[in-house]
Amino acid sequence: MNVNSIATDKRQLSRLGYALLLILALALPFLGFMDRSKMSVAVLAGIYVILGLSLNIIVGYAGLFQLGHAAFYGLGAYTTAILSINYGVPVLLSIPIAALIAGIAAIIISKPILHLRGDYLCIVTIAFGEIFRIAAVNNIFGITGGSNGLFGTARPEFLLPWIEPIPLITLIAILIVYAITVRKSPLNVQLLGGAAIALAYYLPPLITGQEPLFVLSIVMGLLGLLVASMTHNFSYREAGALWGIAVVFALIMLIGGGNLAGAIDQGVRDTFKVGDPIEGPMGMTFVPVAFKRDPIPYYYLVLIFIIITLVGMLRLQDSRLGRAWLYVREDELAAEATGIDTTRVKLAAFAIGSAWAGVAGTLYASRFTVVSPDSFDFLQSVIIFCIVVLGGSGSIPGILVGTLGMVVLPELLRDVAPTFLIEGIGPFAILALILAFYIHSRRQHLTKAALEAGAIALAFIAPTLLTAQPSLYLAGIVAALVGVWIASELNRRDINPIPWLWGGAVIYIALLTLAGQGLAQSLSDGIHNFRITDWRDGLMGAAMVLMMILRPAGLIPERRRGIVFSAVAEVGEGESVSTPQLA
Amino acid sequence: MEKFLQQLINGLTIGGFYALVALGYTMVYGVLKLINFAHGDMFMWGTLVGWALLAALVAPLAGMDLVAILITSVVVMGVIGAVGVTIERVAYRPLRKAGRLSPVISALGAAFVLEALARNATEARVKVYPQNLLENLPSIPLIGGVSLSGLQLLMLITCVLLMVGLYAFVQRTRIGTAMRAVSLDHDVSRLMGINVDQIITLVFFIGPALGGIGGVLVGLYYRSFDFTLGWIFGLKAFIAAILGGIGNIPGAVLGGFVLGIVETMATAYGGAGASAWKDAIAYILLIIILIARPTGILGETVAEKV
Repeated sequence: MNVNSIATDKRQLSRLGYALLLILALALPFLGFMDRSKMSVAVLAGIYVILGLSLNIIVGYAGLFQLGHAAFYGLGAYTTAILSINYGVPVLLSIPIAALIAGIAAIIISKPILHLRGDYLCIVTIAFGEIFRIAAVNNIFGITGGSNGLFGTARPEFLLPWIEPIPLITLIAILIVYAITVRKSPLNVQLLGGAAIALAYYLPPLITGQEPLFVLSIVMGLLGLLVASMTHNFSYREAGALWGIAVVFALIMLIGGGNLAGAIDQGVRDTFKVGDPIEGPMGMTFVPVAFKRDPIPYYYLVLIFIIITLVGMLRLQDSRLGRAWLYVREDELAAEATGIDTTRVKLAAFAIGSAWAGVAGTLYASRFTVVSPDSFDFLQSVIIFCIVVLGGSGSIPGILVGTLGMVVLPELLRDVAPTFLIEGIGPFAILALILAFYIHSRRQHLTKAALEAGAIALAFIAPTLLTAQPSLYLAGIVAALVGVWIASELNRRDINPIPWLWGGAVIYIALLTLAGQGLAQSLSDGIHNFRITDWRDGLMGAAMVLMMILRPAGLIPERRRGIVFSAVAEVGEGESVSTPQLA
Repeated sequence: MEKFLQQLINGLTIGGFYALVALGYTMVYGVLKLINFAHGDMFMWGTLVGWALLAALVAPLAGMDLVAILITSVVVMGVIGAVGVTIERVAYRPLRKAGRLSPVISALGAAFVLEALARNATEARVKVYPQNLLENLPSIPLIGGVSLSGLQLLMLITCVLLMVGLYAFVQRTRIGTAMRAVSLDHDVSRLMGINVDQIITLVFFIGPALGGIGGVLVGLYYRSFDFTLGWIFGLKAFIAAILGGIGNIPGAVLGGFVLGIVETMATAYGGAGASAWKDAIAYILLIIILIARPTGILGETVAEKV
């Protein structure tokens, strides 16, 4: 097995992951548990994904500090809002202007600073973020609306050209994508598989004359591609399977196609609020689309931008510039020695990342129609920074996970009171005990470990049993964890922990029986009054510290790619040259 | 002229606070090359602990304001110093060898934790220092109508004493020498028999302790505070440290006074809208100094180690 085929294998796998994710994302609004407010969260999360991806260029690829990203995001949002409110520029048309302004601002700010130490860049970006916020609050040039911000940004409205042979274009697109996906297999097999997909998915709508069925056909086409790309040795057998699926699909369409077509047509109209087609010049048909408060159209708009961003980033990563970023990040001096203009390369990262944040700002302004300084303060910068760094800087799945943790989770947990800390604590307790036993049984005798765990358990459970106050479990968990820690510290210093633990347990029980009632009451009050919004920043901070200690490269670290010289991969008698790694 | 002198005095007082906090930043940066983002929030915790203690001490020590303040200051120094040492142990020490990015993120995280704790401890309200404290101090008339209030004089004296004390400690004592050695090179210091970890712990005690005192003084001077005080004030103090030349103790003091005076003057003479832009002055000053003289006023040009 040579190096190249391993690399292909991995790529196929992640491609499968991305395809599944895309299908899930496309279907998300139609899942049963998604209501309107959850869709709003999804739109917001999508904007943060774009922000995270844009910051990833600066922090992940080029390895620069940027703690003022929200300012560039805000610049984009304000640009769009001002253009829309004062000059009536359609929102989507203001995207290039927003990007340009954010990018130029980034160049102006960073150019004099980039050659300095990284720490200075960090503090300057914070300073710029603050200057931006103060300027917006003070209604600079009379255009930012002061601390209340600007109201009434227009929502996107546009005419979607409806070209009649749209299915044909889709078909061609599918074929192209297909050829790219399994291009390693022989040409005739490719053609056979492609023809299966093409015929099966083009035939039913053609025969029944029901245009809306094309939507379903596209989905089926994508599924077919997925099946094809899962096998990295695409052969006659897989092509035959595709034909089988295609025939079954065609038969189903022929029988029940009419009803299905009606339902799909209605669904699309309801979701996107499309009006009746308008006849335009040159015999073209247009469908007017006007966004309202409904989050679903925004969701798809943001999704399109995420896909554009992703594709752009992946292309950028492999480009000459992308590789230069990598070298600068790993070793600036060596990069300079190989002839890379490091300042220029870093400036490019800064400008591109910030410009793209401006695009995200446009999406924000058009979604919420209100922009105010509070939405772009330092906390936002830190949240975006955390999405990248905690998720795994340089890693795209990491950014998705980071967004889930930093944006989606807090939004969903907003109204959840953690009473489960009182009610459902029993299982946690048992888990902690098992953990304690497991940790210590590896180092010493089983009986000793059991005695140890027993002491911890007693300290843990006895107060609650004695006083019948369930909230004391919380104190118990803390006590148990302290017990585990003390035991492991004593063990490390060759001191027998058991007498200490039992002594500690007895003292703990005595104290709690004396003061248990009051403590239980205040604990219980504290838990009932606990609101996640009050502690959100604190939890975020704790997560930052913990992550840096436990997993400094992030939750899903970037997969460092080896540079494969395929031309010289085979040497002599099948002996492969060790590939140089970017470690 | 009178207005100018009065503003100069105000600027000097505020500059003294900046300088006290900047010392903590500059010392930590000196030994660890780390921006201790949590320092500003430790300073704010100094204000918070000072407020709680003074509120408790005012009644039993009625009429002995100075004694109450002295006790408060000593306790605050101990408490905030201990907080600093704890944060170093928990959040920075495990990351000593982890490159540049990780400790900075960890520091930011620690700052957020401290701020959230303060937010919930004060229920996100503005807290007011005890009234009538030190109101009988005589104010000293200078030329014309300008006067130096007793409170300002007390604060200036405290700041200057602390700074001179710190400078003497760092320059004259064996431990101070060890500190300077550690800030030059950890490994060689270790070879010279210096316990580097102990020195770092000490730095993380002294810096926050000074910041804590600064917090109490700020509380006494402005009379009220809330939990957001630490971030802005800390950021400005860090800018003061850069202004004077980061890692340089006299530089931090100079930077603090320069920032305080520039800020006060710009607000006083900047016209009608200037006070709204007060916070931006420090940031603009930072950008100017980094473009014009990145090593700061007193910093010497050192080629970055390769």
